[in-house]
Amino acid sequence: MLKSMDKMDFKVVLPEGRLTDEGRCVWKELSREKKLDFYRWMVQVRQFDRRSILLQRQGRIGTYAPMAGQEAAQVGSALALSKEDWIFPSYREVGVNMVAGIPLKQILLHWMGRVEGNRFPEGSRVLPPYVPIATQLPQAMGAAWAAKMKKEPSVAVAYFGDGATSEGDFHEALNFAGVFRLPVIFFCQNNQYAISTPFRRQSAVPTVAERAAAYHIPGIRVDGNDVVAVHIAMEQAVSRGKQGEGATLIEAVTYRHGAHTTADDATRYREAEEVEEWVRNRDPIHRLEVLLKAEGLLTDADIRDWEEASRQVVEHAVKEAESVPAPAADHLFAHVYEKMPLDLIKQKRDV
Amino acid sequence: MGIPFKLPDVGEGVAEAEVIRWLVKEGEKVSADQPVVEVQTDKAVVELPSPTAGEVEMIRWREGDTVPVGEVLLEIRQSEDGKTEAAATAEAVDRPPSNNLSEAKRKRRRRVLAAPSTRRLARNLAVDLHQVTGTGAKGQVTKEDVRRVAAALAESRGEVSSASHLIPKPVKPPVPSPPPLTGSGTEEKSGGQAEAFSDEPLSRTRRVIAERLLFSVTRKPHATHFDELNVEGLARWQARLKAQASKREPRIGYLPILLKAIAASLKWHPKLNAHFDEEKQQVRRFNPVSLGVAVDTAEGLLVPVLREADQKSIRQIAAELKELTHLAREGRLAPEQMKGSTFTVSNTGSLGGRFATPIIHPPEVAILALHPVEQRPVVEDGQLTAGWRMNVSLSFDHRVLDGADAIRFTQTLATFLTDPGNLFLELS
Repeated sequence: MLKSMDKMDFKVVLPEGRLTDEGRCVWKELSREKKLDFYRWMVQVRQFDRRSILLQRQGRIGTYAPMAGQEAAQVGSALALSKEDWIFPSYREVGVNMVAGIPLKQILLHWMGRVEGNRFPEGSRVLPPYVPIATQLPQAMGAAWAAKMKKEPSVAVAYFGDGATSEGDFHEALNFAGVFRLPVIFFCQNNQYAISTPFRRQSAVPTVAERAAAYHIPGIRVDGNDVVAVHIAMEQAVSRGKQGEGATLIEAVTYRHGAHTTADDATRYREAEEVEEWVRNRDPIHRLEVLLKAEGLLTDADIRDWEEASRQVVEHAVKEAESVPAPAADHLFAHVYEKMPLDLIKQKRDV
Repeated sequence: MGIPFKLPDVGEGVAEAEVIRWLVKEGEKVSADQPVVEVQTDKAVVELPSPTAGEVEMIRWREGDTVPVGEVLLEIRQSEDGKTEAAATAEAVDRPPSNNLSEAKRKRRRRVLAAPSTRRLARNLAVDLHQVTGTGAKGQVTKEDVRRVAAALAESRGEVSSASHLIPKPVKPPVPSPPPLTGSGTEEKSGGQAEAFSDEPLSRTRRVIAERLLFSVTRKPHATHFDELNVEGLARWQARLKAQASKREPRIGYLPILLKAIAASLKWHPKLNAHFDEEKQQVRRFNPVSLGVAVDTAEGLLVPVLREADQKSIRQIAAELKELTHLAREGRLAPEQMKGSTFTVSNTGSLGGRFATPIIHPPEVAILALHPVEQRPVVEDGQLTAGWRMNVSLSFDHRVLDGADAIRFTQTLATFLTDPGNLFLELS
């Protein structure tokens, strides 16, 4: 996989925090605020992710899907979207949801198994996290189709992982999107493992982006840990969608630092050297930090202050979420069956 | 009392975890989110972080113990200011290390290698994985292994019951039919017919009971001694107590008196007031008598412990028993209140029955079932007359006790019940 990191459509920030030649032009165009936004959001997301893992280990939230390592892919892409765009996230898109304005309290409530966690702010176009793999792809395609028919200036984005590309839904969604030139973006965070199955055991085609050709839509492959490259790719896809040019498949190549979920042990299927390489040498936050410091936009004091501020934001959200009163025990039976089966009626009576 | 840190479900639907390593000691200060223990589930080894800052007050499990999800792993005294911390340290010095207290009760058990689906199968078939020899890679227990053991157990149970023709089997009353389920849509679908059966998985309490009973009945060679005791004195004295009962002094039933008499009898027969260590093949006799008293609750049979019954008055026993029974029925017994018994009494008195073959509460070596105190026709001096009698059934571990020990014990018990005045002789 490291070899295939050379096959990127374009690069902006290299792992060591240097700009590429073409990156320098892009970087110059970005405002100071935007550059700092990338950084601040990534730090905020990582703080939340770390805290969530601890909360799970203390039994305060349920199973959690860690996302550290994928901050650039999520923050870079989400910052290219606007209020009118639809977001169809998988369960790992905590970072996307935060940027899209979902309160941290709601995100925590979701992981606490609370249905209230899926009640998003008025006007939000973010769908609740999809746990079944790839079901959100045809649905995002459908939402884009609706927008096209209504002549709304919006795109729909389906977020998914490399594992989802092995599902039938992936083909169906991309096929329709290609045929009807729909304003949909298929954003794949290829973190290289579908739980424990490496990408090479899922696909004979070496990259996800190549598959776009089969549907006659553009496929873009970027370094998913290069927040600026991800952002530019997403901006292009959004602009194509809104100008009626149809769908785009983006492959952001990244790596999750931790396990698939808090119930998983990634050391059983990933080599320590591989993890070390990605965590130590290819971290998305570190490279931007180096660049921003070199550009004089960030000091060590700023970093400390922002990390502390982010921690406070997370702590506040934890307090808020934990102070929500517990639901009645029989709420467990709500929202599943219209007519409950016999054994559940009995169980509900015994609660 | 510190803040209890309960073992969370760190995987998705794991039932238990093994304590691999404690990263802190009792009395040690911890900060919030500091890793305190490493546990291994079916899926992964994980570090658990402290939910609060403070001082580790009590560590409840040892390395190697298998802990069910939801049990308290450790207690942390929260630090708010230096004052509470100082108090906590002073207290910790006075207290004996908690590990020793319940050491005898805790069995050290290594976690068996098995897939989660195999564990579930074992739970469903009431097979203790520790009793299964794994034939898979690295000694992993496979589903076939579990099924093989389950089949063997079923077979051996069948053999035992056919060979035990000497022991009268309890005659069960017809099982009352369960109340019909109401408000179900499926009844109409199947043409007004109620479901032919319903499947119900064992509750967690029931599974623990099942595992313990299976262990006892398969590992301990049980023999049961039945006796009819003359309880004339007990019946008359209790009737007098009943007449004297006032608002100030609550009525004392048979059970507290019986427990006192049993405690006194065990002092005479310390062989029965003992634990048997399976690994060391060693019997540990206890000086104090701590009686486990089986209580019938909605969740199943629970056995709270009446500590040092030999040192307590009948009045104290009555009060404590009332409290324990109440807590058991409310489901509020603390795990400590069910640990440390040296002998168990199963009181079937209120429900009736004449004989039973109670199963020993491991690692104890004997258990006594008490049947109703009732008037029966008896022959005295060649005359048929009415007499107060009570049946008892005493199961014992035949490896460490013999029939003669059992008979001597119930005879001693009879002397106290025929004439409770004999209890005076035991006063210290």
